[in-house]
Amino acid sequence: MQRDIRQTPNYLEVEALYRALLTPGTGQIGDAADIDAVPGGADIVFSGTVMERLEGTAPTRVCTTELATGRTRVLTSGPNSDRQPRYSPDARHIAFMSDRSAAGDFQLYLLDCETGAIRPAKPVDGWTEYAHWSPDGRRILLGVAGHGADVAGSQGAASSKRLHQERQGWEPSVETGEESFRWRRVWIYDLTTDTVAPVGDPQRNVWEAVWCGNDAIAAVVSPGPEEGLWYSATLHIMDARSGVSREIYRPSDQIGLPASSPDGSLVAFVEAVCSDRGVVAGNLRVLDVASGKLRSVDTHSVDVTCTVWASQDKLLVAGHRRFETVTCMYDARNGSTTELWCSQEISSAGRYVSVAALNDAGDCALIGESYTRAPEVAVIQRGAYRTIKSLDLGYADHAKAIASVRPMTWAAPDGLEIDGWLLLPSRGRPPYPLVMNLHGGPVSHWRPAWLGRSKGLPSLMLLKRGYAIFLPNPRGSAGRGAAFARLVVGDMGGADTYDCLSGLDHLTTLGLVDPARLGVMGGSYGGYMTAWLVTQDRRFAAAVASSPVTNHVSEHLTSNIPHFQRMFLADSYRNASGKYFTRSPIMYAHRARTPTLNSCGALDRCTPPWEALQFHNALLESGVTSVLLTYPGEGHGIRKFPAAIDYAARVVGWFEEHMPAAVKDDKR
Amino acid sequence: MISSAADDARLQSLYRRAQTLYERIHRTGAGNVSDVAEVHVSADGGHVVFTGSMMSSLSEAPLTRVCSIDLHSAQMRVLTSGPRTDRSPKLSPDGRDLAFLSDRHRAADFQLYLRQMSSGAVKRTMPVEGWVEYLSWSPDGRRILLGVAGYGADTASTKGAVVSELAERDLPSWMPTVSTGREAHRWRHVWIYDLASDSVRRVSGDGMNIWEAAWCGNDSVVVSASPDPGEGAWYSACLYSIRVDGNQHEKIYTPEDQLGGLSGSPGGAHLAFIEAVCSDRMLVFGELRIVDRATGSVRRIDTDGVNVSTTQWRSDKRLLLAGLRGFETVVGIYDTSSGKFEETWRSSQISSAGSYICVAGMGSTGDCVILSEGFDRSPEIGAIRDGEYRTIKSFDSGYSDEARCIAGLDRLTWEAPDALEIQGWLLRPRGDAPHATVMAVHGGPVSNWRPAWLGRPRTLPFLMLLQLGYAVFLPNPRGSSGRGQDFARRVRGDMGGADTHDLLSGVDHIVARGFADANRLGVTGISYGGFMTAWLITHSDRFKAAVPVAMVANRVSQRLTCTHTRFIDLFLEDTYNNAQGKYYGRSPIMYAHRAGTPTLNVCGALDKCTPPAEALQFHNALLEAGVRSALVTYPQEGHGVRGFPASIDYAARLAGWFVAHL
Repeated sequence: MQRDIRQTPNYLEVEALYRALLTPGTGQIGDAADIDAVPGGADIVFSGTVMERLEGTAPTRVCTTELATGRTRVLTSGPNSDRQPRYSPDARHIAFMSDRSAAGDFQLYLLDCETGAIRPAKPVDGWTEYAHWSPDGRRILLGVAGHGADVAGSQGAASSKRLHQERQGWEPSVETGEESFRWRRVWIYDLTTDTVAPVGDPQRNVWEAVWCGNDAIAAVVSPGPEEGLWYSATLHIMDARSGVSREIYRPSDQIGLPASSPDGSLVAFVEAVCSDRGVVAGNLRVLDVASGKLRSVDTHSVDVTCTVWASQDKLLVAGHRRFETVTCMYDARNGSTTELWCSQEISSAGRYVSVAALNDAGDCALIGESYTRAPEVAVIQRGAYRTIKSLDLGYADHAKAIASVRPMTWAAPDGLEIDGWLLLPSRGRPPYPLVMNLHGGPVSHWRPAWLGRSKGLPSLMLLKRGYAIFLPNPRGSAGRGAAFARLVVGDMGGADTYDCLSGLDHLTTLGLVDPARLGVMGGSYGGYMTAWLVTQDRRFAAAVASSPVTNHVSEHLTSNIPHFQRMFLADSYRNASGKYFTRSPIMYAHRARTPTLNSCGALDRCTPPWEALQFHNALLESGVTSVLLTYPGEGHGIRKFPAAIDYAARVVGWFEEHMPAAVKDDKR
Repeated sequence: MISSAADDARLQSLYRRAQTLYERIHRTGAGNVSDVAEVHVSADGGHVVFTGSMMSSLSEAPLTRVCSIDLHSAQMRVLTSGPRTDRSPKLSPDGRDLAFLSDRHRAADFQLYLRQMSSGAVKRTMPVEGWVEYLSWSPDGRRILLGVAGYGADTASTKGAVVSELAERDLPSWMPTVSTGREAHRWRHVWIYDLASDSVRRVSGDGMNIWEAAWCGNDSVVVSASPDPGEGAWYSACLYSIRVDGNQHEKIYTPEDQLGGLSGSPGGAHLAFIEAVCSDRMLVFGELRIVDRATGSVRRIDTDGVNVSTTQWRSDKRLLLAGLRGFETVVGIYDTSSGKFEETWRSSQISSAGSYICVAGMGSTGDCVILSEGFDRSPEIGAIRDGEYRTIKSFDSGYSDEARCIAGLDRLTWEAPDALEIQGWLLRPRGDAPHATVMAVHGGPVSNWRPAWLGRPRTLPFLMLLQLGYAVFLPNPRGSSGRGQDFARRVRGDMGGADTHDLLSGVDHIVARGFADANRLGVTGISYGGFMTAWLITHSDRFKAAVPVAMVANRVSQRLTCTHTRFIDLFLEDTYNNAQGKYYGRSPIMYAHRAGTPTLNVCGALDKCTPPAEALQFHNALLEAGVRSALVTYPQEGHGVRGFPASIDYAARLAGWFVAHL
């Protein structure tokens, strides 16, 4: 495989596809996230991707849409990224984060809605991850990470940039595990005095915080800054002035998504079995702050991923239930939950679904999308989904490559029902060559998603070439409840293996796919499973393992989430007869025969690059065809341009080479 | 690593101290030669050529130039002027031309240059496809053999274990590196340059990776080669001869262990080589073998206990040899007609630096020039004539003053728990015993401590420690070179086994003798020494501070990320996918929870021998166990810290760690 493939047909085709979907240089909005609604619900704001060139990280701008007309405008102009716009309670300002002054150094800015003028708030010592207005609109809570703090796996898992510390080329990096820049803390910006200051105990690391009334803060807290400590974080209430805090809830699993009722009397949050920080889907809990009384809310089997108080008593929640994306309203007065909308076809972008409440009736806005639908600003009103403004710049044409989207359910060898999505190509006819794409996590899932982003684009390219795409949600996946998620805890590379393999058996039995042309790919846990599957089963004609774990021992000792390994293997790396060894792909590499493309990011702190290297070397030693790609500027997943183009082109090329789609009969 | 202001100030002060020490020892900027390598004597015995290095500043690598010294007047001349690096000078048999290697045209792209000795004119020869590692004149002086590595070939652990530069046009920084395991640029070949036609061509065929080559007569070369270019394949390389004009090759010998020190007699009748238990390519101390080319017979030669590293035919019958025997460095001559080895010189005060004993013969009596040095002596060019050593030219710029801190130099011998005799050196500081003592474990494991100048990046920290009042203990546990192949073989399959107790019993010995303070013991080491440092603190609580450098923490991840893969299989006698075996059982991470010693882990980001993830794993395992640990990663260094000013920083941090904790 060449190093420079920029002139190859696949590269040029991927590049053209990205250009068609994102139309760089035109000022058009190609993607959207971070939706928020103005009080009253007439307008929404969001972060819109506006690309000037296919280079680097896609920059975002603060954008707004009038829900009545669909009129959409870009309100900011960078440079770099402007993101996470949030309306002030009086609707006069939009707070947002921008790194316009120094790439990666996100600080708070305030946009005057009337004049459009933007002013920077006082900068914090670190970079701001999120911001929340106090209910009275006088202060803004800022989640601040130190320059140099690790970024969550779901966001790339690189170390953030350390400012003011330009090292010379020869100078060593020095780590002691005690660096102060690793910490995350809450700062409060006061609008009247234009001052900003940290609040809270410096020995507490705050992962996530929201206002709890005007004088207190509800926060997800750990005693230290290591990513691994997130898995045992607890819920605290902190006095916003003194910083004195007390633990109000200690979960048995993980917690996230805290949201307080406007007066601060109730704190809603989600407790879930999680594999990744910031990727939380689970059971809704509502805590009465005064009494400490905890209520576990029945959400009709929905794994909750979004919590928004629509009024003092009404909590709008959104989440996932098997194939469906669902919104419900929880009423704190009687503890009841009413389902408002569900869809098997449409979901929203981001890790999981999120919505912005428009009123206390349960109406909401969201960025809707599906396998065949580009992102769009949409509303759900009285239970009906309606498109307000489509951001489709050319996807509909390419999505014609998808003949059908089929939810599939089959039984694993132990009888457990497993779900998955099957995307059949328009080109060719059954039995199709098929690529099984495995999601990360393991506690995460596949749901309807636009295939125009770096994660989905290789699948779209493969569909265009006549490959079917299979997206299984094996045990451990979100949307099936905590008990289902828990089935993978302590058993990675166990029964989940057979969930995937039995899915392929199922599709083969139905006559949909060609058993001689089965491929497998995936990133992170999906990369691990890809490497694992080719050592456990010889049916695969080609494999692409991206950001994989291949040796759980070295992964435990070099990644920034060692706790994850311990938890999901339920073992110790020192136990030589234990799962750190018996579930490591390198231990069985000699059994593999599948040509494997291994891909990694040199900056990845979650699944460091030597994981891919180890499997590559083990395969080569066993005489198996193997290629290793190391992207020097990438972390956990290939996200930047033009690396994302290069990656998609190589993935498609790998399957074409080792399991040709061979749809020549089309021409006959 | 430094948490308090006091620590920070100490580190700053030690940095300045290391800097001053380097300046004094190398007289930086003065344009004088402070270190030497690669000596060669003219056929008439009148002068020597060598590679001299000069430190122009402490912010960049030393300059190396080809130099000559008149053996009668001791007058020195610098013959080349770069830019960049000029090295490996060899005079033609008629003495008229000097061949050398230089990357003056493009950094790290070494090519052959010829300097006419009468006029001083330098000519660049036709470039080869790759970079030249070594050269050798044919006995008739008409051709030059070139060892050529592809752009992007790995370098040996003894050369830093980094990937050599790729000959690629400038590609954008986002572009991935692509490894397929089948890259043509990883191979090493033999090329022959013909002076008459000024042409160069490759003579080794495809599928044959040449590690080392030497002339054997004028028409054939003898090579050690393997069918794979990976560093791991070196351990099973075999001996071949290649006809220069026909490209046919023929296998001569398949060794049980490893090969090195190839040398063919001028007429091509005999071929000498060394077979040895080796841990590192280019680090070969072992048994002499001589092949009779007519009959093909291979004989093992008794060299009176000397582990040979250097072979040089002085005539068709007389072979100059140099090597090690216990504490001693020995030079001798072997005569094929008498079949006898005759020792001409030995010393336990001075030795020769680098990965072999660097001698160059004069005549065929056993006289030679040697590059020598000692713990208290700077590098010098010496001559051994009739068994007498005489300094020709010392390169001492200020070292002897600094080395006054060495109050005593002891050769120690003790018994390991299994009664095997182990040797080591103890360098004592001024002041009263018992001393705070740092044990430094050498690399390899098949390597050794022998008298060495403490002025280079690897050893300068020892000089600093001695000046600060610490004793430095340099043990040669089982596996070390110079004690015969059986002794070396004892570490094979047992790294982290009995060798552990050789070291600990050595520490007991220096404590019992009253030299070392049992409460102020530290340990450090590079490579295998880094592994043993990490290993020792997981198996003993006697050390108060540890500095493992270029260590191995997890044999499995090392095996699957390093270049010299087969070394680990050989030295653990196991396979990495045996979870109950030594790959795990002998990995420090498996016992990190037992450690209590504050540890400074040092690694080079470019190291392909003990990759940086090794140090990271031990660091994280120690932190997880609540042990104080710091990790220092040098972004531009490979296997060991060699560059400047990184070496100053390294010396300061190493000394600083012991000062803070002992």
